This record gives sequence, structure tokens and C-alpha cells, in this order.
Amino acid sequence: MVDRDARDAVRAPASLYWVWALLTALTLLSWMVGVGEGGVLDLRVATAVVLGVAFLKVDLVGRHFMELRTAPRLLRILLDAWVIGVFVILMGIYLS
Amino acid sequence: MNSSALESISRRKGRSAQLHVPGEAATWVFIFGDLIVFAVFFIKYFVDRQREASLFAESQSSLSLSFGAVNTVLLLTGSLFVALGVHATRSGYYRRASVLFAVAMACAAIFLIDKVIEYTHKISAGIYPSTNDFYNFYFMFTGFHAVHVIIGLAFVGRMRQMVTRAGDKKVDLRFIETGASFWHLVDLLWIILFPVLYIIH
Repeated sequence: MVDRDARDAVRAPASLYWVWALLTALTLLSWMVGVGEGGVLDLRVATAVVLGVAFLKVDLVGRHFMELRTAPRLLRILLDAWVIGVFVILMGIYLS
Repeated sequence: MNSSALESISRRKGRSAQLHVPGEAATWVFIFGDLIVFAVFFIKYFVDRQREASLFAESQSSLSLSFGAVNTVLLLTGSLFVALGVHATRSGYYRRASVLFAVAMACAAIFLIDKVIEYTHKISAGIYPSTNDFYNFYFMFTGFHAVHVIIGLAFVGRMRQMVTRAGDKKVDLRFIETGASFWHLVDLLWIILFPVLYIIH
């Protein structure tokens, strides 16, 4: 069994809850844009926002839930490369 | 405060030269491989969408955004509880970890039930994977992803079993982290799938 001091020292960071709240809020935002049928935003802008937010969420999941912040930098770099690369390619196709 | 606790703290703050790979290294090869596979799927979807934009938009409008959004929040919540469970396991709070993993499993189960309901709605409306190109993508992507969810559920189930049965012995933390990483991948993939299939037109 691990002793009390060591246990308290490795408590789950409060940031996990905040990240979850932010991710949920961003999901709600995307849903609102989705059901709003464009509304105020130009369709292409709405798409860029919704897709961009999705990739931002992926980044947050990677950094905080997947613990990439404390992982070797290569993993963070690879995920960021995927996030940015796929976003740029998809937007490029969408706007073409 | 003993040295392993200090090591853990400085590792968490990223100050240690020895950074920590969550889980087996091989898992990360798989994770990035899966990310590439899905990236190719997304690209193919966007390319085909350009050719048949109005067909895709019309078919897409039959999808329930609410189901998609609720499913996203379910997986996100599952991820929160898996992450909390991993931390609890590291700290030796095995009983707490067991409960946390159980909640994550419930999230996955509800997601799968939602999926069955969604598919049933479609099929009873006469919509099949063969109906048109959009629905082909819809069923294939979400189906392939659902298989991932089932595997993720099995992983978390095994993790829960490990912490429940550990007693006074230490659990295989590497396995716990591996399962957790796979779970987060499943969450991550749906985060992109939802707007791509349900929202963007």
C-alpha cells in the first residue's frame, strides 16, 4: 500500500474537471451552430468554426486526459501535427 | 514525503528529464496508426461530399444532432472518469478507481444503446448503408467507431476488474494506462466524427 503523504501528493488535478466542462461547453456550442442552420454566420465560417473547435477538443483530450503534457515531446508533436494537418486538408477540400 | 512521490510530482510538472509515456509504447504506434486511418476516411468523405454536396446535405438532415451531441458528451464524461480512475489507481485508491471505471463503462454502454436506437430509426425508415453514398459513410464510420467503443468498454472492464481484485498488491499500472489511452482515442475519434457527419454541410 502507498503511504498517506504519497497518496495526497498524486491527487487527480482539478484541471481535469475544468477541461471536461470546457469540452462539454464546446460540444454544446457546436450543436447550437449545427441546429442554427447558419443563422448569423456565413456557412463556410460556421464550418471552419465547428471543425476548428473539434480539432481543438482533440488537442485538449490529448494534453489533459491522455497526459501528453508529461509525456515525451514527440507524442505531443505528432498529435499536434495530425490535428493541424487534417484540419488544413479538410478545410482545403471543403473550400475548393 | 518519499522519493517516488517527489518523482511523481516533478513528472507531473514536466520538470523531470524522464518523461512518462502513458501505457505501452506500442499502444501509441497503434493510436497514431488509427488516427491516420481515420484521417484518410475523413478526407475521402470530404472529397466525395464535394461531388455530391446537395445529396449529402439532404441525407445528413435526417440525422439527429441531439443524439450526436449527447453521444459526444457521454464519451467525454467517460474520458473524465477514466482519467480520474487512472489517478486514483496511481494513488492506491483502488476501490475509488473501481467505481470511477464503472461510471466510464456506463457511459460507453449508454452510447452503444443510443447507437442501436439511431440505427433502428434509420433502418425502420428504410435507410440502409446501401441507400446512397452519404448513408454508406454514415453506417460504416459510426459502425467502425462503435466497434472501437466496444473494445474500449472491454478494456475499462478489465481495468476495473484488476483494481477490484488487487487487494493489497500493486496493479499493473502500465496496462491501466494503456487501456485508458485507447479509451481516450475512442473519445477523440468521435469528437471529429460528430461534426463531420452530423453538422458540416
